[in-house]
Amino acid sequence: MKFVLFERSGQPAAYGVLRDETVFPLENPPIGDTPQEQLQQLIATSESARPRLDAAIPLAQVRLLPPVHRPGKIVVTTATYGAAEPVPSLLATLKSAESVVGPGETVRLPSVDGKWQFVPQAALGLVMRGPAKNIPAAEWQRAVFGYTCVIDVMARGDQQFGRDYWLSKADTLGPIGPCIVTLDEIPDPTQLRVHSRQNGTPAQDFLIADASHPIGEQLEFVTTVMTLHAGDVLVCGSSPQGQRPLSDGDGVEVEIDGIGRLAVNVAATVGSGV
Amino acid sequence: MKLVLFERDARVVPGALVDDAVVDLDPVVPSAATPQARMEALIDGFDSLQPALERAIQTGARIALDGVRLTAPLPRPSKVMCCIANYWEHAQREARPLNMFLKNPDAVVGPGDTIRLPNYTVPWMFMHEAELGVVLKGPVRNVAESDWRTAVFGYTGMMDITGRGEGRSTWGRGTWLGKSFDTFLPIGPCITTADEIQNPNDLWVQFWNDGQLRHNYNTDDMEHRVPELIAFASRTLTLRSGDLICCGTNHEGLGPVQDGETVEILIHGIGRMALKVEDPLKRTWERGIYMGQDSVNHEAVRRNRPQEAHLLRETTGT
Repeated sequence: MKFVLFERSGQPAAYGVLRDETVFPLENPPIGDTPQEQLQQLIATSESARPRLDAAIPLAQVRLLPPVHRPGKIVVTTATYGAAEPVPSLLATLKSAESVVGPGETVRLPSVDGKWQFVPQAALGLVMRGPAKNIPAAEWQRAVFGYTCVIDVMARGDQQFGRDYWLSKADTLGPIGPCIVTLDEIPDPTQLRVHSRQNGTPAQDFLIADASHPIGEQLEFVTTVMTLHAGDVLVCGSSPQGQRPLSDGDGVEVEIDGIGRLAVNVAATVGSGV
Repeated sequence: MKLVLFERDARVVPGALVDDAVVDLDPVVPSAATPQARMEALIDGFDSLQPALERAIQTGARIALDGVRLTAPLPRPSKVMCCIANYWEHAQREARPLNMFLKNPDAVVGPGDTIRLPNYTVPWMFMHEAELGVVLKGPVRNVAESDWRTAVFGYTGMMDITGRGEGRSTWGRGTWLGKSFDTFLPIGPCITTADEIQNPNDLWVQFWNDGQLRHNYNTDDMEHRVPELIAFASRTLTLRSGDLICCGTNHEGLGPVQDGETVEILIHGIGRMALKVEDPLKRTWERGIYMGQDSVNHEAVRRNRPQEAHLLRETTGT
């Protein structure tokens, strides 16, 4: 199933099922004070989730919100794709829920001096079922609820003092969406193709099969360090190929075949710098 | 006011530390879904709740502290923003550029809990760092240094437990991942409200491992002071109530943590908290302050890098 978090005018955000160009509300909507709590409830009860087929809403009549609204953690691995040379040992870094924006929303680049660039990195996101700790690589699927698209915006400009990673954690630099596709819909995730466009021009294009560290290995590594909980997001790294810095007014689209397309806008902010 | 969370009747409820006792504030603080949300509600509503809180503290039953199990006063902050280094360490040199990282907010443990070293051998050692934690009040963004107090609710103690890659450099260079193992984030024992702390850059931080004094410094030695930390963090991230900024540590007192030890932090004017350490692999390191080649302990500097000894200043002010 493809789960979306959607909003109609005058009604609170709710989870629904996306089929083609139609959204169906759920028969027994998950309960929770916040969309994130509702997602955790949905993850726990998804086996029994049923779309209300009598309540179809055209996709054009709703606004999609980030399907993971305020993840407890966003863990981004350093996996790369299609690298010809040996790659360094796998590591991972944290972003926070402040990074999250949804389809059609705006990435606001931090106001910093000219030596910094911000680069969108297209990525496969795993929405965790949790709690997951010490998961063997071969069993990674039991820890995962579904897949989504992520744009991991990375700062470049000051590796010496490591402020690149700090700036990359800024508000809005981690768009997520448009939906969460449950595991059963993707028979072979290694065949997923991640591709992106910047202002309509093709940018990144890579296959999950070409990962420096397969998904299972990434999940095993991260859960060696920390427990991942329901609704946390593991971002499976990106390809160095096709990355171009962002400018004010840009449009960025990431598409993963079988999952969906996530498009966002870019604005430079006026502020006081790093 | 010194605010805590404590266990009572299989629930975690808010209270206040008064001398060696806890006063139950459960009837006064609005309910919420989780203990973290409860503390956030207390932070957000503090100004209007204050008279009722003070009445409860005056009149409420006092439960002796040694019969109470405190938990971390912030069990699950939405963000824990930590300074990298950030102390002069009594050396005459330029301040290093300010930088921060995010620490795993699910790694929180509290007073009396156990730090569990991972069953993972790539980091060569696990060390303690003792830090002042600034408890935030938000949401705020782009706070001017001169307005820093508007974003501060109070202060707490924090241990930044760290896996080391080589020497004293954090494992996972650049990513700071060595600081995000589960249980590597002791917070507590209480949140001392900002009105009780005149100047967060004049606090005495001490840390013992099995009674051996390791960290012993004053926060007046900070390279980038609390107002600058608030301004810096809020230029990148929206700061929210119950988030934490950890001010970094003075590395002169770094040392290993290992199986069976008890570690204890005291920030004078805030409070004291002790935790146990467990290691399933029972690794051992030389006990005491880390004196390796890259140690900034003054005795280690004189021994390992005599050419830098002239930069050292007297350790005073604690």
